[in-house]
Amino acid sequence: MANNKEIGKAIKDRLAHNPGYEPGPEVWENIIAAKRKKRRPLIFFWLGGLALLFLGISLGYLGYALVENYNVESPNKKHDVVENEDNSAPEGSETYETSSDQPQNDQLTDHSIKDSNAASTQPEQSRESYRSKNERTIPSSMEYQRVKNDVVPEAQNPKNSTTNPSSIASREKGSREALENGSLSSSNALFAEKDASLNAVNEDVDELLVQANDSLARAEKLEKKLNKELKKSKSDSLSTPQTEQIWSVTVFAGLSSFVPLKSGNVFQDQGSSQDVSQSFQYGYGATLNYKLKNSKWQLRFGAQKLNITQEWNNIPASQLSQRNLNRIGFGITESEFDTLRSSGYDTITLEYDLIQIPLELRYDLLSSQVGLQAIATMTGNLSDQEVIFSSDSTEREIGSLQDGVDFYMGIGAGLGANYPLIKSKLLLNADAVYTANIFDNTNDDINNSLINFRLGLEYKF
Amino acid sequence: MDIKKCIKKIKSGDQKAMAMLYEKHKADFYYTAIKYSKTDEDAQDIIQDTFITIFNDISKFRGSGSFEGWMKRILINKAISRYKTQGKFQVLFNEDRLEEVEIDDSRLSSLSVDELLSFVRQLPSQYRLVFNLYELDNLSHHQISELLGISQGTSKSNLHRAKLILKEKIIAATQQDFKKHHYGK
Repeated sequence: MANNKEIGKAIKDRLAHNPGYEPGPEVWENIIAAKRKKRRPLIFFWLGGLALLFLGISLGYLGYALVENYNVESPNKKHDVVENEDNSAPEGSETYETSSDQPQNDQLTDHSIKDSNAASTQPEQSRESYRSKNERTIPSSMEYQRVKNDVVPEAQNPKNSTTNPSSIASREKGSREALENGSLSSSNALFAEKDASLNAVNEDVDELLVQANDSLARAEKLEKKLNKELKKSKSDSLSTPQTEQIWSVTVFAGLSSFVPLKSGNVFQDQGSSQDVSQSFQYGYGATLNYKLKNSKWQLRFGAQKLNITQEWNNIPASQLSQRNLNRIGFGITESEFDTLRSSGYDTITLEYDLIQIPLELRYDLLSSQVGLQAIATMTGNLSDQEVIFSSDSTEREIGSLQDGVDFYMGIGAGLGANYPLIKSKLLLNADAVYTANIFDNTNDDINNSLINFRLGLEYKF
Repeated sequence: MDIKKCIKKIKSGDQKAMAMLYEKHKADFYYTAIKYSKTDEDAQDIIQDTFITIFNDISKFRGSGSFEGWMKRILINKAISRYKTQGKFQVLFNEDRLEEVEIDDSRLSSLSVDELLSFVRQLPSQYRLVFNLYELDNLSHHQISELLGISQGTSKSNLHRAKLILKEKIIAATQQDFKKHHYGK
């Protein structure tokens, strides 16, 4: 008898257990490749940020340096600016008082109108302010007023004719002489004499006015000079003493290698005799440097790109186990391992594309022409690593694994030397720096300690 | 490694932890992906997209449910997305053929898992999806209708038709053996 069963349930029961289906190794490679693509833009984002930071610092410093140089090299221009400021800021400034100190209309003398040429050489307001403040022009004004009162014809000034006793006496005397001589010519001669006297007095007044204006101009100049000195002394007393800053840029290139410490022999504990190769490879970079003049300390910040390779050759087949490879951090999967083992590889190459972002502190050990510095450095490291398996016997590269980006910190120490080339503006730098990895969140087994030898040119701004 | 530690490491970008998670689940996920897809390439694409999404969005996992369940949902969504991007198509079917969908268990037993799996994969895409979601992954017609954007009636109808097709294929494949077994020929 047939044992009928609902077909859905029946199929579910039969398909419950995986009979051994597995995805191909290319699936994992594609997953990792996709992850890598996603992560790389993040690196470019940070690198872009760093580049912008450099640009910002450089531009900021350039602007600062330009202003500083301009001020140091052109002191007269600075003074000109102060003078202009003085003239353009009459109110509330220390140079000029407010309108309450302006001279009254009755203090204004005619010479300012008559001698317009002389007066036009100075700002009217300045002159008047000065006058009102120092009262130095009052004697000359009063003198002018007195002389004017004396010489202005009585006919033109009826008040004077009645109030000035000397004028009355003079006029009475003339009238008497005219009556006595009985001649009009004598009267005319008297007027001519008066006229000549008036002209002479006018000339004297003009001369006095010119002298007074000259004195006024000199006094104003003196006052401005004093104001400037006052301002300068105030700003000097308020500002902190300035120390000269020295900025420079170093561009360098050199050779780098892993330091064969922990990573020198990956299977050492198992008596491995494989050949380890850690060749020096080319690197380059740049730093922005800051120092105070007469200080022994210098701070450097920058970036350097390094290519580093570590290669294990002739690895005994007995040690090429998945466990051993994963122990040194390669993260190889079983299927990947099977593929690689079947290919008969005996060489592992670890390639690093490393971007170091160092913050260096240097201390001058020598004060001679050839400088020698002790270097302490802290580095941020962006490392893009790739593991390549290959077979020497067939000279065939089998494949790569674990291409990933890590970030870790390092600290280091070293020695640097420099030699001035052109007027101490351009220096030749030579450094040897050892950097030890202090934090690596992905690989506990490989010590990314580095040694860098670099040669560079330092240019002081 | 503890799953919580593993998740934490994946969040920090640790490739070893990613590889570990992948190794643990790749076979099961691939087997599920095979049931949902017509070809092996489709299944590989589904599992690949699934793990990329898991690694990228792992920070979105709040830990309220099981991590495996969360991953499985991603896998099913990827399979459905793939079906949606390929475009729906109409399947001509005789509405009057409302037949029983029971089958003799001995027929099924005579088939290998691979044969049975190939029958499921040969189903039209929408039928295959509904059959897998309802029968193999225990979703309700309501959930299926929401996931696929179809009515519950359509979901039920698709399921029934899928079962009929499967029944026909199984009977056809086992006819010879069945005759031999029952009639001794």
